[in-house]
Amino acid sequence: MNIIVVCGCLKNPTEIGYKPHQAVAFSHKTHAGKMKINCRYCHYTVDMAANASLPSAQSCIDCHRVFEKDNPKLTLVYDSMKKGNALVWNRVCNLPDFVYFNHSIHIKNGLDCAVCHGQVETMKQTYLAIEFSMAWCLECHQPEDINPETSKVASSTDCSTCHR
Amino acid sequence: MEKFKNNMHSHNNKNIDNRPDSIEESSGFQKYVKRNFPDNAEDILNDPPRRRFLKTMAASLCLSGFTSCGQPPEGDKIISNPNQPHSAFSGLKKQFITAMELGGSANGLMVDSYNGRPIKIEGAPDHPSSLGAASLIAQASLLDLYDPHRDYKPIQKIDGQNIERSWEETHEFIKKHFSEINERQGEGFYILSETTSSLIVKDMRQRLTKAFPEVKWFEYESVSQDNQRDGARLSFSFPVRSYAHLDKADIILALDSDAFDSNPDALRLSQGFSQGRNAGSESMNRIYAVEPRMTSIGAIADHRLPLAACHIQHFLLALIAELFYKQNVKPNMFFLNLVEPVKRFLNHPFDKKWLSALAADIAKNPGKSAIITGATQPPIVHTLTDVINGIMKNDKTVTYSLDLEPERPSYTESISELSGDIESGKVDTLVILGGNPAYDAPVDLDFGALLEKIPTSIHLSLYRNETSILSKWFLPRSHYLEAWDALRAYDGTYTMAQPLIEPLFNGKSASQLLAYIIEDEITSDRDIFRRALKKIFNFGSFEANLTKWLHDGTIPNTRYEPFGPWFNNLEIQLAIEKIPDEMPQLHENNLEIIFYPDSKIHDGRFAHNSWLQELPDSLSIISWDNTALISLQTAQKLNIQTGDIIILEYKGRSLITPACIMPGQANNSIALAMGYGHTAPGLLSNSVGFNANVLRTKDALNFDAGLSIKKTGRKYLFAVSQDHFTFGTEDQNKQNTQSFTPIRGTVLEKYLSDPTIFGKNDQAEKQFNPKTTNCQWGMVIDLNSCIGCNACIVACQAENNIPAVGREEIIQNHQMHWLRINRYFYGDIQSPGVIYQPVACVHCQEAPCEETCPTHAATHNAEGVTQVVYNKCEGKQECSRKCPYHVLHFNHRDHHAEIKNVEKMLFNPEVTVRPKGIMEKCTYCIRRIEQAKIDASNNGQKIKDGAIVPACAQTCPTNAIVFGDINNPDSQVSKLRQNNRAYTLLDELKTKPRTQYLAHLRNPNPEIG
Repeated sequence: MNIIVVCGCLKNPTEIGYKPHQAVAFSHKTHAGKMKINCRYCHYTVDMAANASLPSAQSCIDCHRVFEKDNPKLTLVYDSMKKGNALVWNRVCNLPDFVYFNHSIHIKNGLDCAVCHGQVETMKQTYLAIEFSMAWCLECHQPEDINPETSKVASSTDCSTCHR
Repeated sequence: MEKFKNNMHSHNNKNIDNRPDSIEESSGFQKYVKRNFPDNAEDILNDPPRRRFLKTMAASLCLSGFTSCGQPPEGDKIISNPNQPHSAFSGLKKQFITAMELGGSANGLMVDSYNGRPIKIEGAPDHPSSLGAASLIAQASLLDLYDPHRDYKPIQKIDGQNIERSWEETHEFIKKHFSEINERQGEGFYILSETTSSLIVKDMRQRLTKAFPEVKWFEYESVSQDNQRDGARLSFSFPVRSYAHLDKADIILALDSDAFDSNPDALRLSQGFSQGRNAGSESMNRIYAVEPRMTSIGAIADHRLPLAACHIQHFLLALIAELFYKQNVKPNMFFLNLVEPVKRFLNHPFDKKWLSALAADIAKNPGKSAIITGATQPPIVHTLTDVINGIMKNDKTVTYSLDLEPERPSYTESISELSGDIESGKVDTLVILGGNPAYDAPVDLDFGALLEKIPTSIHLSLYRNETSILSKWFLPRSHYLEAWDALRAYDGTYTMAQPLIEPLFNGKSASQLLAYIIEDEITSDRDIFRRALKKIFNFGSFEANLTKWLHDGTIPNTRYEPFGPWFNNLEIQLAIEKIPDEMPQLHENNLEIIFYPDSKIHDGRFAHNSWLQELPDSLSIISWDNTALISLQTAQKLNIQTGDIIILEYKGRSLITPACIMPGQANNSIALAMGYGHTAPGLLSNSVGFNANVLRTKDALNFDAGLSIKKTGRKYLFAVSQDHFTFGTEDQNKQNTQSFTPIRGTVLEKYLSDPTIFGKNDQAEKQFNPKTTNCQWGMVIDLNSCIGCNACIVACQAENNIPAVGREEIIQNHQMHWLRINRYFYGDIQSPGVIYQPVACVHCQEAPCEETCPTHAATHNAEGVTQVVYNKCEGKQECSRKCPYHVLHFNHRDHHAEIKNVEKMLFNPEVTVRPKGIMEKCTYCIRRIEQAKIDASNNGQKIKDGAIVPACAQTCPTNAIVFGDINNPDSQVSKLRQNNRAYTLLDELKTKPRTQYLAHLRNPNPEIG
């Protein structure tokens, strides 16, 4: 098991299975899988803004002041809230700076988080489930007039849609 | 290159030294390297690093090989807040209302904040002074917020040594020092403040006077409306503020007017002008301008008379005489006694035809004319302006209000009194709140030398400027985007200023410093603000009111009291009788010098701002400099050409400056912009331009005769971005024009008799044949509304992360502005008219750049926006060579490579920051289009007309730029495209541009022609 973790960690940040080590051992498997907490409970800006923001330490503590409050894994989170130092996470899903992706329009159009992020509710330590390449974006985004059979989303494939 | 090869060859042939290094010592190689690798020239030329480079490369290859099997690669970090601020979250732009004050008048602003940092400034739509527009200065002030040249710590000067102090140490010093002063009731304690309408400074001033009864408070502004105040004092025995309503005026007479330039009400005046212009209709207004140098309103006037500044009062008197005696205007009871004294001015030296045509026009339109005068004209001219407006019953077009502080002495009197007190040793401690008196006080006061005499001088300032260096203490001041304030707009409306960010450079506001001095119980900016506001507006629920005021930006119904004018006719009569018959005679040995505030950097306080410095002046097209403007005729007499370095000599003082021949400049008048030629070390403004203040004495702050010019025989190279003297012809339309004229225009009369004179853009309609139901974006720019204010250029620069490249790069024609304003003169070279044409990428549908791009980086999208895809661009510059509009810009350098972290906060995160070697151009603000599409989709609506406003159109005070969907026949832009005046730029080339222009119309008086 250890070997797999190390290998995941060693992958390039754009490769499937990239699994960076996190300072807080947060498990999506427990929260999203076992507890069935909706993704949008924590990543609540996902349907309003371009970014699906990270929850603040305060929102972790909102629940954890009752549950598992003595769990040593939460020390850093308590510290963050009390002392005001920000929690630093290693980014799992990353896009190049010249790509301007917007979460809100995808969520509002009914796309499931799992389409891009994989089965997060099964991940004990979060890893990259899909390689975010332009070709992968275009698997869905194909103009109807080019390929009516495979086009899933009638959407603009102009460069300017994502590159500005 | 050839030379370089030869050099190589000769080395080999002569076999002097065949080491490869010797090539690098040759001057040809050095030149070659410097030319082609300006950034890295030093590294390449210093030989060892080159060899070291190979070694390093080898080592890093090893390392990277090692890395790939040993350590995990470093990914990006993301940070979560300890506490989520209410309603503020990542990835969404938020807008806040605030205000910026300049010269005692506040303009309401709307600031875009992204992840807690302000990134773009726009005008507040509901503010009475800004009306949705922001001046170029307000927009560029964002750059000052993040400027790493601002000092972070208080600096104390002891025996010429600069010692950095912490605020705690400074606080200790203030406490100790002012408790001593307090014991002697504040004797010897002086304050010099820049003028402010701030409610909280006023409140702190009252508290200060209570704590130090003997304290003396002075105010100084180098550029002010004092002449207008003094003129009103003579007209009405009371200083009042005047407001022109140009939208209601059919005839506008502008006398040396700063209406669109440095006037505190400029944005409202500009908008009024464009609303009343009604180009193409019978009711089109007519503008006359009489002025010594070309101003923004004079440039676009229908008739313009260049006249020396000192002759304008006689011109006005002649006009009044003409109205009374030739046009038989009946004076009402106020002006009966003026009829006789003006009779002697009937015999005048001015253009008789011109003056009587103007008088007839004014007489024919009683109550519908507006006479406006610039701040540089003396009080008597303002009085005469009030008189003509009174005679013509212009009570709708020009209104007045009471002034806030009728007792305030003029700024010149104020600083003179202070200088006298310093001279006589009365001043023990001087606290200077903002400003830069050592630079801009009248030169005969020698304020800098006086400042050094004061035992304790403290300067609170955004930058460590000339005054800070001569003061014993420099304290960093907070930027207006870092502080709370309640200010007053030009019309008196209370305007809220709220901070967008915590002070980045550890600055304190003026009221905070005063709180330290009086040992106030509260020293937080916010608490001082709330306390002062509560004192005056303590009604209802204060918290609820405050929330509403901060949301709206203003406190309603707080304008100054309106003032219905009654005239002080006896005083006016006396003043007129004192004016001599003869005008001052000007000639080549007795020239007139005119000082005027620069349209970009004002009195010099924005000289540190690279965006503003880089802007080309709207008339001379010179950036990074000021020059002595001189008329063609005077230049010929003195044998001066543009670029000659001359010596201006006036009252025993002299200034070396380059000259620039300016069409439309009055003969024998030399105009010099203020604000340049700073000397404070370490700042960007250091040695940019020439300091006009060294000639500016307290008796002649605006203009005076007695100047002479000497030539030096040396030449100066200006950074210009458009050729000088681009003369179009006056009458350009489809029929009579040659091909390839970028501007079209004619006179109103011709247009009304034949509306299809511009060929009715049937070709444009044919060109636009969309097969889709998509939105199709297009833009229309009205040449009649553009006043060349340059605000759009700064808006574009801020929105799209466009760098300022510096003087040297501009000289090499490497400027990066996506949008430029072409200035075309037409008509007589002595007094030409000006047509401004904003040109950015016109988004051709048959774009030459697309056809020629070898990597297909230039494309156009399904909605008609042409774009350069940065990832695909290889910098071959083919597109730039083929573009007939010259709107593609190449990054010759990595302009963003060496910027500090704090400057990176300025970037708009929605727009890519382009590196060296990339082509870029206007994108129609594609990020705003995409955002509007996303918002519309999320809300399940269609994009409404007007929902997308590019940065340039958003800030345009005259609404000259309209953007929208041309596939929607009901959109504003579609309707404008149907206008008879619509034309496409260089349509002979059949590039089918999406941006169209509305042809220029002029409304001349047929009697003048």
